[in-house]
Amino acid sequence: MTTTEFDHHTGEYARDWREINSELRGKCPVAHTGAHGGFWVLSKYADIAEVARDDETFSSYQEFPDGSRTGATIPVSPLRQVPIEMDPPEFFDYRKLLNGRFSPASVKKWEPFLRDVTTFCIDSFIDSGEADLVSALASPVPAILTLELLGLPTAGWRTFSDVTHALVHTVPGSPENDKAMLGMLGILGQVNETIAARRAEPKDDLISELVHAEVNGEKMTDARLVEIITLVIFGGVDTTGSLIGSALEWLYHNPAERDRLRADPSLIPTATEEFLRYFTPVPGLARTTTKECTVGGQALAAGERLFLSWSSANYDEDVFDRPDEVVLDRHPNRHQSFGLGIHRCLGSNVARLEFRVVLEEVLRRLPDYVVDTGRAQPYPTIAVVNGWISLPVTFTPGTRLGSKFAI
Amino acid sequence: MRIAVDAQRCQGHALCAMAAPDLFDLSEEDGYAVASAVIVPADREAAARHAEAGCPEQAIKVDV
Repeated sequence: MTTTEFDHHTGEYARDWREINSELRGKCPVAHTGAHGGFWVLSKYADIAEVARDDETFSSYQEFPDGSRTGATIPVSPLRQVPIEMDPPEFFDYRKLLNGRFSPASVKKWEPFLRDVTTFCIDSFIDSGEADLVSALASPVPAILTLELLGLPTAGWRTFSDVTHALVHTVPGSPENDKAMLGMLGILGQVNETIAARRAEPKDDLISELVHAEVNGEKMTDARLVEIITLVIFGGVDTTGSLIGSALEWLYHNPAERDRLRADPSLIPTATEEFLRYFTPVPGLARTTTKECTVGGQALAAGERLFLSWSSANYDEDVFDRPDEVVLDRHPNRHQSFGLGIHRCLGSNVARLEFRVVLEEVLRRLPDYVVDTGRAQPYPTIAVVNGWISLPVTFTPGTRLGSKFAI
Repeated sequence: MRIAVDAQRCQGHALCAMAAPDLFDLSEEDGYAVASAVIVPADREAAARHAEAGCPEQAIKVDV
């Protein structure tokens, strides 16, 4: 078999992605589907790793004479994100501008701020005994940090958090998605204003740094700056929020493991990698072949689209022992949830820190939370991000601690 | 035992420093890893192998 009905945008895939991936790995590791103009789905760890490490043959951005283009998603997104949708050598010029602020050493400095923001969010509901842990915690914490890091006003955090969250889980073309897209255009308008303001008067934030940075001796255009900032926004908010939602939901159903993490928070970093593997918040990304090549024994022509299924690779029996089980102290754990190769998730260190701080605070302040499983809503489709629309919980009320961050 | 990080393969996943913080340094500038010493202390050989096995890019090589 070399053909499949695979479409990562369907509700069926959102529900049964583990089974669909498993069947592909077993029967057809390089499969062609007619969906979205036709593309190949790669489902084996080794094939995906080989492709992700060969940027010369497998491009992350192609422009064609008719004006069309390809990027890191299938179908292509109207908003280009740089440098994830860019190839070497140009890619390196941009990546190196960003690496410094996202290195483990730089990210560590954000912990007190993150702890404070997490306290602020938990304080907003701790005395009521109930909350939606997505809209009140998992979404806002990464949203507020992203705003602060970029240098956008944190006073708008609620809109920013809601818009980025809604954009990911609403269906394109629906009134809800149109509303979220309008909200995003408003945010990008604010980005443009901030670019102008920082050009005149720089501050110590990422937008200031980018505005004054040079690539090959020249300042970047506003359009290019927006492409980079768009990546930071989309990469920074709902991805980590989804991981938090999925892990909190799973821990409710696995109370012994929840108690284990609460008793020994030093296990959280290793557990984080396992949650990343098991839930794969970004299920897959795309490449385009630049020439004739062979992947997993399958001959491919130039210009073919490939979907690299990180979520399938993460369950590959050839690499992971007992892949269907959550093993909180799993090692080695060479999961592909941050991708592989030069495009390795820029924000991976931020994501880990956010996840750890939020999980520590939840386990400490609402250790007995109970998920309302009847009302908890997973994303209806998971083509871009796999997470939760809402995660309503009840718990024994606690007292507010107070935070410096306050709006 | 000798240890080395292949700079061409390392992509800054940072898992080696998580597994064995005393054996790897992550650059403050860009987050990529380097081995903090070429020779691994005898009592840290298991940790070095642990880090090697866990590298998603398979950029770490240890040899006796």
